[in-house]
Amino acid sequence: MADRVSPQLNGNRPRYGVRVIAAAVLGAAVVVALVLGYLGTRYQSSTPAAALEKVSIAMPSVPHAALMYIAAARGYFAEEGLEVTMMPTIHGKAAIELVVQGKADLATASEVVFVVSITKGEALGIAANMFNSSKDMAIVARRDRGIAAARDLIGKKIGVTLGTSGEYFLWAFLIRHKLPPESVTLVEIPPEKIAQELATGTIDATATWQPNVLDAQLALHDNAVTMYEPLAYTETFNIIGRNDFLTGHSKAIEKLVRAMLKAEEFNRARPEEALNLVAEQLKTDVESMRPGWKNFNFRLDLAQSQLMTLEEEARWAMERGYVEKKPVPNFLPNLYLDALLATQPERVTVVH
Amino acid sequence: MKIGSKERLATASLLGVICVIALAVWWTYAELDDASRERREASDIARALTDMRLVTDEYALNHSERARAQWYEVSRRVDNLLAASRLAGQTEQELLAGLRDKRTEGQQIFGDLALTPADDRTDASGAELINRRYEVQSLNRLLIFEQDNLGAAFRLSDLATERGNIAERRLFVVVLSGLALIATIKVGVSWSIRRNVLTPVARLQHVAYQVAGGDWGLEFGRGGDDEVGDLTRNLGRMTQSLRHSFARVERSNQELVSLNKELETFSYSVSHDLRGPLRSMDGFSLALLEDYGDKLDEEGKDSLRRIRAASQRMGRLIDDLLGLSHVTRVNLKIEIVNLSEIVREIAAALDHQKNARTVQWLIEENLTARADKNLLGIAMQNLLQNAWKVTGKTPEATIRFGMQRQDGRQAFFVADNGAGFNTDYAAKLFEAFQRLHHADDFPGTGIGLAIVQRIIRRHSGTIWAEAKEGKGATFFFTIGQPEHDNPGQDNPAG
Repeated sequence: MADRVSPQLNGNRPRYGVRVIAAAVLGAAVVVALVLGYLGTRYQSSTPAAALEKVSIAMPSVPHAALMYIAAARGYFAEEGLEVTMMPTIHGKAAIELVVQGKADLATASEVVFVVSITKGEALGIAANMFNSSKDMAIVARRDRGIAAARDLIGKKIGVTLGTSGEYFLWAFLIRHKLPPESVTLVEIPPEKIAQELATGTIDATATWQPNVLDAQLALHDNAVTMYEPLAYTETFNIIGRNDFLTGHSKAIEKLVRAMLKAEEFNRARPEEALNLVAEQLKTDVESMRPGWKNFNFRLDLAQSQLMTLEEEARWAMERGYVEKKPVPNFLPNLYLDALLATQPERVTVVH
Repeated sequence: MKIGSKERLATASLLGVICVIALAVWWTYAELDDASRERREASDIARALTDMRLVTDEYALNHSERARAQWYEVSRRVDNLLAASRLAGQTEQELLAGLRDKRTEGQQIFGDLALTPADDRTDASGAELINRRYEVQSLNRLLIFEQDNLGAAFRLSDLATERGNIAERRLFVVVLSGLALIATIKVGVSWSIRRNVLTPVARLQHVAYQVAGGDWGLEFGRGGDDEVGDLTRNLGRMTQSLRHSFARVERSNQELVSLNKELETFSYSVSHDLRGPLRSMDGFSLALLEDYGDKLDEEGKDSLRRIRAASQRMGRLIDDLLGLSHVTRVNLKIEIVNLSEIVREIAAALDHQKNARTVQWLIEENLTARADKNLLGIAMQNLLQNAWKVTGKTPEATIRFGMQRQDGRQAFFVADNGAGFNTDYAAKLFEAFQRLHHADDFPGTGIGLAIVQRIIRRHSGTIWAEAKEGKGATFFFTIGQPEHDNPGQDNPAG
C-alpha cells in the first residue's frame, strides 16, 4: 500500500508494530525460557572455580584406581576447581602410610589396609568407595608343588603382602573351603616381586590382586594353578583421608567426588576408550589389562553392607594379631558421607 | 502471498503444532505409565528381598527348618520377579544382571550352609573352629549380598521414579512450550490480519470517507499482492474513472452556469430594455387617444387601444420573465415559514381586489415549513392566483389549502373546484408560456406555474398536479432540504 494516502493511518502503524514486536519478543522469550529451563533440568553445568585448590593423592599404580586416572586425564579435576597431584606408591598400604604421615592429603587403597590402620588407632575416613570386584583376587599356585585344589594348600608356603587385601583374601579363601588359615605358612613379599618369587620357587603359591595375578600366571606358564573365590571376598578400593582433612576440606572432597562421578559416567558411556586411557596412564599394555578389567565394577558409593565387611576384617586383623583383641570398632564415624550426600545422595545407603 | 494462502498456512501450522503436542503428550503419558510399572516392579523386588533378609536373619539366629523353607520360597519369588522383569535401560539392565549374579552366589552360600564336615585332617576342636568361622563368613557374605541386592532394588525404584519425574517435567515443558507456540502463532496471525487486512481496510475506509466528502485528490495507492491489494487497485481505478467523469461534469456544469448566466443577463437586459419602447408605445398611444381622439374615427381608436393592450400584455410578460429570472438568482434565506398565514393574506388580498368574486377559502391552520419566506410567498401567490382564475366561472368556488402525508413526506396542496384540465397535458403545466386554457377563458402569461416549479426546486422539493376537466385541480408540492443560501447561478438546472 502506498504511504502517501493517509498520514494519520500511517502514523498509527508504528504503534501497532511496536505492540506486535513486543508480543512476538515476549512469545519468543517464553519459548526460549522454557527450552532453556527444560535443558537446565537435564544438564547442570559445572562452574569452574577461579583458583584451583590443591590436593595430593597417594595411590598405587593399579587399575583399581582407574576413575582417578580417568578424571585426571579428562581434566575433570580442573573442571571442578582442583589441582590434583598424584603420588605413586607400591600398594595401598604405602599410600595410607603417606596420609598418616601427613605427606599426602588423600590415598586410594583397599578397605583391608584401611581397617588395619583404623584398628591401630589411626583417625582415617573413607570419602567414597570407587571400585569393587569379587574376581580380582586369586590364588596362583605351582602345580609342580602338588597343588591342584584349595585343600592342597595346607602346609604350603604362600607369598602375600602382609596387611593387605591379598592376605585377607587368602584367609577368607581358606575359610570358605573350611581350611584352617593357620595351616599355611605366610611369606611376606612386596607386590612387585611376587611373580619372580613364585617363579623361582621361593613360595608355593601366592594370594594377590591384578595385575600381579596375571604376572604370576605368565611367570609360571602351564605350571600355574589359579583359584578364584568370589563367594569369599569382595574387594573394594576407596578414597581415604584423615578425618580432620575430610571434614576441614569438605568442599574440596565434594569437588573430587564430582570429578570422579564424571569419570564414572565416562567409563560407563565409553568403556573401551576408558580402558585405553587407564592403560596409557599406567604405562601398560591394554591387552594385559583386559582379562581383569572385565571383572571390575567402577562405581562411587557408600553402602551399608561395607560396614559388615569392615567389621569382619577388623575381627580378622585381631585374630591375625595386627592389633590386640578388643571389641570390634564402630566404623560408622570413619565413613565420610557428606561429599556423596551433597552430590548424589542416593548413592549413600549407609544408615545415618 | 494471498491472504487465503496465509490463512491456510496458519491453520496448517496450528494443527501441526497441536498434533505435535498431542503426540508428545501421548508419548509422555506412555513413559509415565512405563515408569509407574517399573516402580511397581522394583517395589515388588525390594519387598521380596526384604522378606528374604528377614528370614535370613531368623535362620542366622536359630537355624530353624521353617526359616530355611521360607528362605527358599522367597528366593524362588525373587527369581521369578527378576525373570519376569521388563525393566529397560542400560543401568537397569546392569543392576538386574548384578542382582541375578548375587542371587546365584547367595543361593550357593545358603545351600552350602547345610553343615558339611570340616577338613578331615583337622581335629575336633579345630573342626568346630573352622565350622564356626565358615558359618560366620557365609552368613556375613549372605547378608552383604542381600543388603547390596536391596540397595540395587531401591536404585531401580529410584531410577523409575526419576524417569517418571523427567517425564512429568517433559510433559510440563511440552504443554507450556506448545501453548507458547500456539500463542506465538496466534500473535503472528493477528499481526498478519492487522497488517494485511485491517490496516489496509482502515486505510481504504479513510480514503473512501475522504473521497465521499469530496476530496478527490486522495489516492488509494498500489496495495499488496493479496486480495485487499486487488480491491485497493480496483477502487483506485474506479475512483480515477469517477474523477475523470466528475471533471467532465464539472466542466460541463461550469459551461452551463456560464451560459445560463449570460442567458439570464441577456434576458434581463432585453426585458429591461424592451420596457422603454413599450412604455413609449403605450404612452404615445394614450397621448394620441387623449390628444387626438376627436380626430380619429372609431377604427383608429380601436387600433390604438389594441396597441396599448398589446403593449401592456407584453409589459406583463416582461415582468413575469423578470420574476422568473429573479427566483432563480435570488439568495435563499431559510427560516420557519407559516404557510397558512401567507395563504390567508393572499386570499384576503384576492377577496378585496376590484370586481372581486365570492370564493370560499378553506385554509388549514398553522402549516409551516423551512423555506425562504419571500420565494414561497411568490409561489403561493401564483398557485392561489391560478386557482382564483380557474374558478372564475364556477358558481360556488372553493379553494382549499392544506397538507397531507404522502410516502412519509409532508405534501402541501392547493385545491380548487374550477375548470380543471386534461391530465394528458399535465407535463406541460410547468413549462413557461405553456397554457392549458385559452387566454380569453382565463387570462395570464403562462409563466406563473413555471415560477412555482423553480421555487419548489430551489427548495429541493417536487410539484405535481392532479385534475379532472370541469371538476377542479389540486397542486401538490413538497419542501425538501432547501439550497443553502446559494446564489441562483450555482444551480444551473434552474
